Amino acid sequence: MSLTAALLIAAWAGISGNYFMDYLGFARPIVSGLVVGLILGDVTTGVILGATIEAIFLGIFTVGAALAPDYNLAGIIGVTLGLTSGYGVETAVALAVPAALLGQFLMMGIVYPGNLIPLHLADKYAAQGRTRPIEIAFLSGGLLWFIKGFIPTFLVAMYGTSLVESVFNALPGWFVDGFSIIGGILPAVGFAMLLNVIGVNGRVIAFLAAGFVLVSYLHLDIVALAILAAVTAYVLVARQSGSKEASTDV
Amino acid sequence: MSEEKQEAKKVSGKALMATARRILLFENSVNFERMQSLAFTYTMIPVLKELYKKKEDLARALQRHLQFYNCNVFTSALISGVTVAMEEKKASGENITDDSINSVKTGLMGPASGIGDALFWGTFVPIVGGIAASMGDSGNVLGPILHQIIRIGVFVAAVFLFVKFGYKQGLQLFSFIGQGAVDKIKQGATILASVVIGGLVATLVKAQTAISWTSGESEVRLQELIDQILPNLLPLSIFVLLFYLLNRRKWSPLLVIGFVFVLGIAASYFNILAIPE
Repeated sequence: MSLTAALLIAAWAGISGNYFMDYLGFARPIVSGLVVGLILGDVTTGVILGATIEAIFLGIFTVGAALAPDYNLAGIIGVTLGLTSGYGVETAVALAVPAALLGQFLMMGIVYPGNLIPLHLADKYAAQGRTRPIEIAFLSGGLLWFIKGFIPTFLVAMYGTSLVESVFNALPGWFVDGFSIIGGILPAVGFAMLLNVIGVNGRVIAFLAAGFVLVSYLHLDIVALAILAAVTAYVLVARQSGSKEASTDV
Repeated sequence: MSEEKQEAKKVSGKALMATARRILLFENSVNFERMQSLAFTYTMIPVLKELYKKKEDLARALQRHLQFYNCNVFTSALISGVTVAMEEKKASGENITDDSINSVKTGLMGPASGIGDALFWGTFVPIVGGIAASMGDSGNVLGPILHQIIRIGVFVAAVFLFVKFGYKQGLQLFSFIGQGAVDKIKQGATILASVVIGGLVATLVKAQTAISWTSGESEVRLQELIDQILPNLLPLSIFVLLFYLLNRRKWSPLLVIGFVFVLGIAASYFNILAIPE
């Protein structure tokens, strides 16, 4: 890979790996699939790899102070090496979890502790009633996020491809194929976790079954299914409130 | 509003919008000691600068917002709005202590996070991501583009609306949350999420068996038999199994992921599962 491409991908990791970019959607693997695909000149494959990694992490998110695995780094590293190594889906799947754990480790080891410096600087300036230095302290926190994404991604982009290739070349064929099978199954982990958060009961199972059947037998598109589900949810919840309360003018 | 006190201070619309804009950067600096306290302070600065002209007052205001704060950013915007309303009253000379502002914030951040995590991370994000992934699966570039249009549009609009709404409601937001409206939204979100998860299991989870045998002259492939009875039987079974391990056997997510890796490699070695289409 050219130095320019590696620097661009690493910069994307530095920018999109910031948690505020997560709220805006830029951190997701599906987006990195497009961006890295553009940088490396193969958008279609990039998006396919991004979608594979996206599916793996769909149900995983941060609750409270417990940090989630870093799906941003997983997406960028998986797509980059998937595009350059010749083992597309296999690489994406094999590296998704380790890359996510590495990112999570760097967040806990660098980003969160490092941000104590801006915090304590802010304490000092707050006592003096000065706002501008507090703003600068806050904004400087982005530098730590940038380092977290930039350094591992740059190293992987520069030196990872040959390493991945030599490992995969040394593995038996059935073992490499196993990663494609795993990639098909892994999204189920996230969905199971989501269901675990929602809490399972008879109603939830009934709706789940309805969604499954509509897609499996009737081949309904997911967008159509989501709209149908939203309408159902609205009708059921609105009707319920109508029978319980006379008026709900909030 | 007709009986405003003479020294009553009012936050300008410009400052309120500046706060909303700054909320978009909320997670730029977070730490384990006080989590998002610096972020909250940063977002309040435009408002505080308008309300407190005296250096000591401004210093006290900045310091009280540097206390511990942690909330889902999506719904935290409501709390920002309420806080602006309280600061406005305090600056106008009403009897509001530093503690009461902070206790309102800490009182609201628990329920707001609960709602925000359930609605935003637990429902909205996976549904939009699932739609984008099922489009992107075939290399459709519209997947990520549509994803970003929806994700940015909804989040930015929500932050601005929530800040305004929280500011207008002020402390009445507590009673609003208590009125069951939130329960209804959560119920609706649960229905939506359940249906879509069911559909996504059928779309994005892929497992096909490689088992086949010869009966007389012809080769019988098990997957073809399954497809005739219940398509996606294997993805559904695997999903149910993994849920059972998580929910009933209390396996950690990492252990379940490890189990999937062992399962996939073993299934490949014994030629039980095939590479999915």
